[in-house]
Amino acid sequence: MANFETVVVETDLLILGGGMAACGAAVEAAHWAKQHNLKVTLVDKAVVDRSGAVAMGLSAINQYVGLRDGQNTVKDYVDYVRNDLMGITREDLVASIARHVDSTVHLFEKWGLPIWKDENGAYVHEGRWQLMINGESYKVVVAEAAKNALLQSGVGEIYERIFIAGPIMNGDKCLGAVGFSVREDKFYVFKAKATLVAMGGAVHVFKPRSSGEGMGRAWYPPWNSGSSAYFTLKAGAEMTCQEVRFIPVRFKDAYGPVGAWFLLFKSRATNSQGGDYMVERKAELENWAPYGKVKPVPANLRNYLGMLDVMEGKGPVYMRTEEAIQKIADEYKEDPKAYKKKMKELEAEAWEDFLDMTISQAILWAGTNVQPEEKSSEIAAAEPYFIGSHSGASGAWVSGPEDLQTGESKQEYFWGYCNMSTVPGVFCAGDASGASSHKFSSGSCTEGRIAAKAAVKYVVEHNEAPKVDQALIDALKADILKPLDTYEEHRGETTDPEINPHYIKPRMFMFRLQKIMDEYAGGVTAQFTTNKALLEKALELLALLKEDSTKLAASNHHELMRCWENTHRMWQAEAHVRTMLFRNETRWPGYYFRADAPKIDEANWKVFANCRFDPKTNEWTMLKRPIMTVIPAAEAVGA
Amino acid sequence: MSCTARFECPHCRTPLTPWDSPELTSWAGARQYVCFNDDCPYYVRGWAWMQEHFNVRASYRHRFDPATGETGPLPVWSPGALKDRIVERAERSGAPGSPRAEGARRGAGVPADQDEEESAHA
Repeated sequence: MANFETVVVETDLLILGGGMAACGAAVEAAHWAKQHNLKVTLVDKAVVDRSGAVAMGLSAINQYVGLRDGQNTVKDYVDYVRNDLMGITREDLVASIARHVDSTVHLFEKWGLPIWKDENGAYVHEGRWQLMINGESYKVVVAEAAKNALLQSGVGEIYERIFIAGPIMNGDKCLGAVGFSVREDKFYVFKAKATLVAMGGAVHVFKPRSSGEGMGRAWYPPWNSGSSAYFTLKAGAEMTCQEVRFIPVRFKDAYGPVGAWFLLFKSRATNSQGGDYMVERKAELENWAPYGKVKPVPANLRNYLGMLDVMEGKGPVYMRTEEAIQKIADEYKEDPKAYKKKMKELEAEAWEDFLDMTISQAILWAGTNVQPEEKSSEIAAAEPYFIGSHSGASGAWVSGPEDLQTGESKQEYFWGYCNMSTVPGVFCAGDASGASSHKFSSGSCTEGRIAAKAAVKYVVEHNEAPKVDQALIDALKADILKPLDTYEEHRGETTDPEINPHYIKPRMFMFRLQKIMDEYAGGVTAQFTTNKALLEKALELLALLKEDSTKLAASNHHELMRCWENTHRMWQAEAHVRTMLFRNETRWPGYYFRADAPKIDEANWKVFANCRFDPKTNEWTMLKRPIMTVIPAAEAVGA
Repeated sequence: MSCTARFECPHCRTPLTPWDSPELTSWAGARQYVCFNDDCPYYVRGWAWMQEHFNVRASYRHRFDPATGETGPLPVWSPGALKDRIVERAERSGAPGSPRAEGARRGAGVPADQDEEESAHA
């Protein structure tokens, strides 16, 4: 076996991940842990400063409710999320975050994040829930607060560049996590009384649009590889909304933001015949009542109207930037000097203020001779993403807060500690926790705080050190390091180390997974359409892929990480396919379409479609959970 | 504050202009009311304020949401920004989004079909 030193770390609360949710958890955990003389350990596979989805910065905070100024109520936010997710959301979890997110944003400001304010101190809103920020260093600011909280309080420690491969389970009990350094020959065993999972969503489960030369480019961070979902699945936790992927419609291939373009230019999106699908296909929204009849129209329905044009052969779909710019040119045609000044203004706005979020979009345009003032820019629906913190909903099924439950919902939605999964002592936040969409960065950080506070309470009330069997650790170590051994054992048998009859490298493994998902589970080339037969075929092929996964090979630490990231992706894929098969309707056209069950079925399927993998029997169980209204119609919770 | 006063800029007293907010902004009222007066002192001062405090070349215009009664600064990056979403005069009188109609509906979520198709009513 590869000769890795085993490092054992014993802690009280283990926080897995380094993104916004994990940082929120760190800040909150440090406070409560100090009061109770407990230890907190955070583990990130990279470096916390720039980990997670906010790595490169953001231009806006997308969840701020504005409770203290009476701008909105918690119920307003719950209503917004419920409708955008076509009725499928946990009101208690959304409300739990919405009532606290403002305080998290105020903390960001205190930590040094510049949030735009006018001369009277009023936040400058880009939209109802969105605040403008100078956010290049947004993550650095939040990471600094998390690191300071943990390290200066004396209760915490941080491990970076340690990849978490999976949980340590003893029957139904989670005893912590195991992983390895991506730099040194070290295998890590983290023993913990409670574990908080915040390792992000999953990208590159499906074949992306940006393939070949564009490989690696994605809309959500490519380092989010399904590790949260894998961890909770392997722990035996119940999962929810595994079918609710998100499809962003963005500038094609480099995923540049279109929202900003709409705001700046009021560009129409039209098909190749000049038709505006939001106008021409408006009647289609009637088929998705009641959700299609409320503004704002749910994101998946907006996608769907555009997809109908594409499926009818009316593509490409273009953002008509040249129209908007031509209008300006016409206005100034008598005054070339004013026109030049105007164009310079626009150039500054477009290039500097919006494309700073996606420089690669600018590079792609430069490389394809797209000048927006002369040529339209193509937009397209991207490949599917698993992103429970945004407009997807996938994640673990977690307990809500006790105080927000009704007498009825308490039985279904509360089991002791807020944000605890169905595995005692395993907590989830951010993309790791499901059915609580539209958290974005601020909401994920808030949820991390909420989960951490509850997790510390759990540790205080269950303060027994985990007993971890050495034989179990030895078995996990052998399994996790096996790809290195496989490579060493067989690499001499072919002349090309990438191709060998005894093993498969992680890159090729990923291509196999992506092909399965793309062709059978409603990816880009299948126009996001699938059916029962295709999904069953996907499961058949995924079973073969699972066999292949035992033959993964890694030539170095980095490849070992890639082996496990792709194993994690594979498990996310299986949960997704099983749940799409289980939900016998189409509820989110524009995200995926069941051709054999093309309509929404409120009578039978206005429910959560949940699943659970039993590690003891290797069997999957699919189950329905009820949707319950928790926020009464007239009440404004937390206002 | 009277219903009419809400539709007036508190900084320059100019009547606010109805503006079709992009779907993505998700404001309660699809139609917001904005001061597009380029001489509005609030807007004019905003350029220097934003440059000095946030090092950005931007300003803001006064915005009013008739669905909730909420007001706030709306960011703009140039004098012309957002003006092409102004609701033209011909569309305004008697149409949904007019001060009379919006005042009557304030506080309620607006079903999409009513917003587009119904004529103004008190």
